[in-house]
Amino acid sequence: MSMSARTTLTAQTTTNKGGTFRNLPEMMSHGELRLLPLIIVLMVVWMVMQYLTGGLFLSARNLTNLSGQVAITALLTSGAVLIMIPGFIDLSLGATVAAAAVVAAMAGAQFELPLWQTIVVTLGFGLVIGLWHAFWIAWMKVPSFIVTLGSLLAIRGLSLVITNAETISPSPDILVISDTSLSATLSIAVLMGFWLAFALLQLREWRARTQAGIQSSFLSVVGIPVTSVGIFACGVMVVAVSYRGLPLPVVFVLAVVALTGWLLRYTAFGRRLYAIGGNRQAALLAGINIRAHVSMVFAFMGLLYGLAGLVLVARLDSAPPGAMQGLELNVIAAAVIGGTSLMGGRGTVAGAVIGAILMESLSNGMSLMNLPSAYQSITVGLVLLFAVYADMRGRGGRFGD
Amino acid sequence: MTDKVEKSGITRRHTLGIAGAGLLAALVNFKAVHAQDKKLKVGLIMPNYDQLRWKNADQAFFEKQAAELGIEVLAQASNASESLQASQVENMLTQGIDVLVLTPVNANAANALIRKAKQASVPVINYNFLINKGDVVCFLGRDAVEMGEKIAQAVVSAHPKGNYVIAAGEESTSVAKETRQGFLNVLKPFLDKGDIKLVSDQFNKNWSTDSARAQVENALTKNNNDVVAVLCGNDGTAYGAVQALQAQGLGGKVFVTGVDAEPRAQELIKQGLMALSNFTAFDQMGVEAAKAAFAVGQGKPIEASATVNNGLKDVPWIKILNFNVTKDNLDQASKDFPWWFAKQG
Repeated sequence: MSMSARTTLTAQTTTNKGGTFRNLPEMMSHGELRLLPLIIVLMVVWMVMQYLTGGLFLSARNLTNLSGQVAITALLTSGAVLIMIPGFIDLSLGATVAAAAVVAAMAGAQFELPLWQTIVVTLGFGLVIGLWHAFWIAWMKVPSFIVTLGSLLAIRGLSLVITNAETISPSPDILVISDTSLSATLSIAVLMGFWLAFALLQLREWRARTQAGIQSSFLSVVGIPVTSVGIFACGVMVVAVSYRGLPLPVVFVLAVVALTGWLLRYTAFGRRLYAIGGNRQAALLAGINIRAHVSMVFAFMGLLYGLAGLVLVARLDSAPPGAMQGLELNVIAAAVIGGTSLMGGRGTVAGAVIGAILMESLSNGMSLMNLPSAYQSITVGLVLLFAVYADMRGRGGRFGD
Repeated sequence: MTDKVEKSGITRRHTLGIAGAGLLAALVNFKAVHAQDKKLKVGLIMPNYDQLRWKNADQAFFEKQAAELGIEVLAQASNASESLQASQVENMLTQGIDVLVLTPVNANAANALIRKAKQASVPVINYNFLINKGDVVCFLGRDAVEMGEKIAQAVVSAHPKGNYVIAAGEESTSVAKETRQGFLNVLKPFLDKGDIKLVSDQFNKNWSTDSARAQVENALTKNNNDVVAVLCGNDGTAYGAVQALQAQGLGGKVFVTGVDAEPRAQELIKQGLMALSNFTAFDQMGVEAAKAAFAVGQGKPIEASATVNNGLKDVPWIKILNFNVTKDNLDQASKDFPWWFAKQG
């Protein structure tokens, strides 16, 4: 772990004394348990939806649907957090994901590539766009807002040109992505692995802190997080086993969340992203290679365009070049609701994914209640507003008061 | 990552709490009604509410007819988003609908939705836009080719000779292509004889009024204002044509046609600036869809006058009435279809 990471942890834990439940409110506002309020809100929303839909919302079938509905946003929001923490933004998502879907459909249907080559080509296409962004942002120093806004327009136009504005049908073998579910045993194995890895990492962190002489509460570092992730994993397991198994897109989400979460929390690379977002000048003076870090996150985001495009084309069984308009705003909103700061320096992947699940739960629940879409927009809009307000307040003096 | 930042947790907790409570209060008012009896449950999906017809005609009359037949209706509009529509279909299937009436946002992206419904053994009625290769039980819609022919027939009987312009709609929609096809079917013999010359024939992206105006302006410039008729894909493109003509002092002197008979088009017809606009009885379409859904739900045969081949199979086709609205029959139309024509300002 790097120096910057160590100092960050010290700053967090020195304020965090003792490990009893008396300190729970304090622990919630500090460090590890910052996500707890968000989880509680999500639980409340789920309970309300369960009541209002007469028990439909928490049925295994609906939760499986919900997981498919949230998958694309959740995948992308993990990458968006990596971009937003060092203080950048990506506005190109809707266009780039739709373009990746078009590439996937054309590769399979018009160039008749086998599935694995289609996947490679699509991910490669996403990576190229990611590198294009990285080049302009990291090397040419153009603000990411402008670079990705340019892509939003240009890549959408490109999709319309290469498809002649027509919706392309993919070759049928790509449906394997949306139609495959892991068997019950495999689902359980994946989820158990996910949980065990998380528990081990938390345990290791606690041990490292204790050995370094930092006062650290076992409850807040290991106890509560590992238990809640365990409950989550068990819940997913019950749902998956009692309906059709774990859908493949959900496995993608779990993998991407695990990877990005691990990068951010446990690697020097991740901690340096926070440093860049917190104070770019200081990060530069500390010898952090900002250019390399920024290039990496945009290139990674590029791969996610490809992955999300594959999920999209399988979900719709078609690649409409005009699809997913406004997706970028949903993704950014999810990240912000999950506590990621638009100004950089703050945010977690887990929070962002919970934010995405919260937003999609609202849409799904209200759709099940058959509420007109206008009311759905009003509700989601208000939730977003409150979350951003909280984000601003959390930044304290930055916005001035 | 300093102590200052850590304050955020408390603030966010509070505001999220407020948001949650507000949401709760808002939602309690909309508690879904879950019928206990065995009413037929039909899902109706509209593509958007951007155009006047969907909410005020199609959906309104569908729901009215459904109420008479004792059908429970779940209605949603998809905000022109393919992925939102996919979620809505899943959610309606979760709610246990018996029949789905689907107006696709994108007629080429709807097969995944039909497959989902099929997996749940829910039959799909295809509404308004024909779904390419869709495994559906029937199709309701106007015959856009026939509508284009009807419009062009009226134009050639008024102007059997001269320069014509076609300002068609959005190229990626079947209705724009078929309407233009209908125009050409009628014009063909005149074009072959050389009596009529097609001096400009273009599609207009997103049915844009602006681009239609530019198209007609350019056609007028090129032909020294010698144009006798402009055939438009819908009313929106016709407005652009009218503006272009007025700018050249040709308002009312050129035969302009539109589709849909929107309130503004009715106004232009009254003023003589537009010659006609074709009107489709969307109310009848909503009513027929509810009847068809009822029949399908009861396992009874559907009464359809024709079939249409959608690439997969011949689908029973319930054709919907359409007619040209001109100065002469505007008053009669207002009496027959007050829900539409009374909307004019």
